[in-house]
This record gives sequence, structure tokens and C-alpha cells, in this order.
Amino acid sequence: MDERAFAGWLARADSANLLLVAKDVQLPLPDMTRVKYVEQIELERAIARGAEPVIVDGNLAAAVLPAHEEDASLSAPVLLENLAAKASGAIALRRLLDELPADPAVEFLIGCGEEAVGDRYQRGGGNLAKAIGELADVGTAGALDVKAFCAGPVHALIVAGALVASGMYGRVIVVGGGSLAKLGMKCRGHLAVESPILEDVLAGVAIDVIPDDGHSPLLRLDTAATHRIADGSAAHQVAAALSIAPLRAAGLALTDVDRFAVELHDPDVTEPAGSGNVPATNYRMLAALAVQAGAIRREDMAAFERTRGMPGFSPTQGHIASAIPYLPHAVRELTSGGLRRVQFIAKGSLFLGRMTGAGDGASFVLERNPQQGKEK
Amino acid sequence: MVDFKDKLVLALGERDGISAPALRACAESAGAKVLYDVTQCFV
Repeated sequence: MDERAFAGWLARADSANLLLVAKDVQLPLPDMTRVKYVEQIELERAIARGAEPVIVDGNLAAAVLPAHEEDASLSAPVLLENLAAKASGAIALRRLLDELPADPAVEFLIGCGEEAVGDRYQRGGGNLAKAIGELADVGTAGALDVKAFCAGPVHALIVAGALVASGMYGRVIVVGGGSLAKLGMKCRGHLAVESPILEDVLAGVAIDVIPDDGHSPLLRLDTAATHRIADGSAAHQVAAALSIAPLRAAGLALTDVDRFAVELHDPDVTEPAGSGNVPATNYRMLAALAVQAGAIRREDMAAFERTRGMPGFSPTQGHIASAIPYLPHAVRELTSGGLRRVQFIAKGSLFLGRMTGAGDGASFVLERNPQQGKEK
Repeated sequence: MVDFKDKLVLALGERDGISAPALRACAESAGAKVLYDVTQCFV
């Protein structure tokens, strides 16, 4: 989706009428009546008073007004971040629903993004999932958010799986919008080595979770793991708690997993900025654990990383990059392809909020449906 | 070989590498005093 079309979704997402749009910009909207079109000079005045500019194709096209004079949680930059997360989440959700049968109705939405929605009395109060569902016209669903930094989507999928498995809900969708704040996050590093600024895309995600249909891959809740408080936050402790420990508990070894989906940040983005090849670092750790467990020989580490890992290919959108970009590929490989099991391992940097020195993480195994093929 | 005994340490950790608590534990076990530790995440 290009910038202009996305600006149209920002306008649709603007339920508080805080977006001003330049008169000479025609946004692609089904209903133009609610949009506040203003002269360019009025936009510039608003920006001088604290509104956040929205640039489309290099030109000033719109601006988001602050919703309160003194409340930093309702300042224009924060509101634009939240509108962008809402809009990109709704686009993903609408796209998913447009491609799937409407029955059964979606009963619950779980938001898994990293935005903080609220005012100064409840910063991060949340439930953006409900606003996303409203914008995507999913009137049948209730909603809540699951917050766990970049590990949010995998945590949310475990919760969704448990809600469906318990019979509480018949259909749950995990949804997350993109992170505007992370656009150009490492631009200084890129510019310093004369690299293009590659963090130029917002990503959204929507994942449908239903009861066993005898065909789709199974989210094995008996392999679901979360990083516990006493597990330790060193990299090998986190990796062990999320990979080998839950596999062992389910009677599996690391070598029973055909592919691991870890932090999948594109190294073309991270390496020029000095952040290294994050997926490769994670695969090296898994291979080392496999050697330590006696599952492979030390000289087989490179082959383990090559055959059970993958190159990073995700934009650095935090929660979006954390394991789940491989989900559609895994679903395909676990149905029409040759894979049996994929383990999804996500990590979250809780320490960034300064409330703990601990990290976090969550994991689960997605497995080929044993009923698959028998229906023929 | 660096002798950490009675040295003052600033421990800057990285999420996918070596975290600050691990750096702190190593430095303190070697006799250093850790003045500040923080883990960063570069993604």
C-alpha cells in the first residue's frame, strides 16, 4: 500500500477528528464527508502549534492535532503513532477477513502491538484491538490487548489457542499494527556508512485461530512456553527456556523441529547500523544448545543453522519481526510442503521500560495436522 | 588477562548477545564493583 492510500486509512481511523488534510490532496476514501480539508497555510500554522505533519510523496499532506494542551499521552506525535498502529492493524485484519469465509463469526480479537493508547491518567490503558476491530468492521468480536514488547504476538497466539481450545471462543484473531516510531530507528547508523535508510515500511499482522479443522496446522499448547521470572536473562538461559525445555517436556528434541522461526530482522537493515545479524546470532545459540544436549555434533552446527534456520527478511518493526513473519510460510510448508514441525521463538526487551532488568520470551510449536490427507 | 579486582565497571549489555545482568555477575565474581549496568536492544 502506498503512502497516499495509507493516509486515507489514517483519515478513516481518526475517530476523534484530529486529522487536518490539505485541500489539494485527494485521499482515496469511500466517504469523504468526515475529512477536514484545510488550506496549506492552515496546516502549517497547526504544525507550528504542535500538530504532527504527515508527508505523502514528499509533500505536506496532512497534520494530526494534539488532543490536549498539557497531556503528553495525547500529544500529536503519540496520537499519530497510535493512529498508524490502528490503521495498519485494521488493514491487515480486513485483508485477512476478505480472504476467508465469514463463518464462523469472529468472537474475539487480541491486540499484540507495542503502542500505548491512553491519556495521562492511564498511559497505555490499551485495548487498541477493539478500535482496530471497529475500523475493520468486525462487529461480532470482543477484544483485549496482550502486551509483552516484541514477544506480544507469540504470547497472544498462545492465549488465543488456549481460549479456542477451552471452548471459550470459537474463533479468535490476533491482530497487530505497525510501529511508526521504528521507521528510521537506526537512520544515524545507516547515514554514517552512506547506506539508504531502509526502515521505511509499516507492517501489520492478523492471524486466524480456530478449532482443529482436520487440515490446518496445530498450535500445540503442550509445547507453549513463556520465559519465567527465575529462568535467567542471559541469552543461553532465554534460549534454553524457550526452545529445548518445552520440547523436552513434550518428548521432543531440537532435531525433531524442522525449522525454527526466531527474531527475523533483515540483516540488510541491522548490519549497516552495527546491530549485527540477529537471526544468525539466535540460530548459533540454538545450534550450541543442540551440541550441549548431544543432539548434534559440534561440526554439524553450521548445517543445523543452515537447514533449520533461515535468513532474516522482516522489516525491523519490533513485535512484527519476532518469529511471526514466518507463520504464513510455515502454514504452507506444514500443509502442502514437507515440514512436520516449526517452533516459533519470540523475545521481548522488557528492560527497555526500566521496570525490570529481565527480558522475556514465548514460544510454541506449530505442527502438521495428523488428520491431513486422511480426509481424502 | 585483565585483573578486575577492585575495578569500577560500567556494564553495557545487549539483548541478543550478553545481557547486563550476566556482565554484572561475571564482573562481580572477578572482584569488580559494578557502578551501572543496562541492557540495550538494537532491534
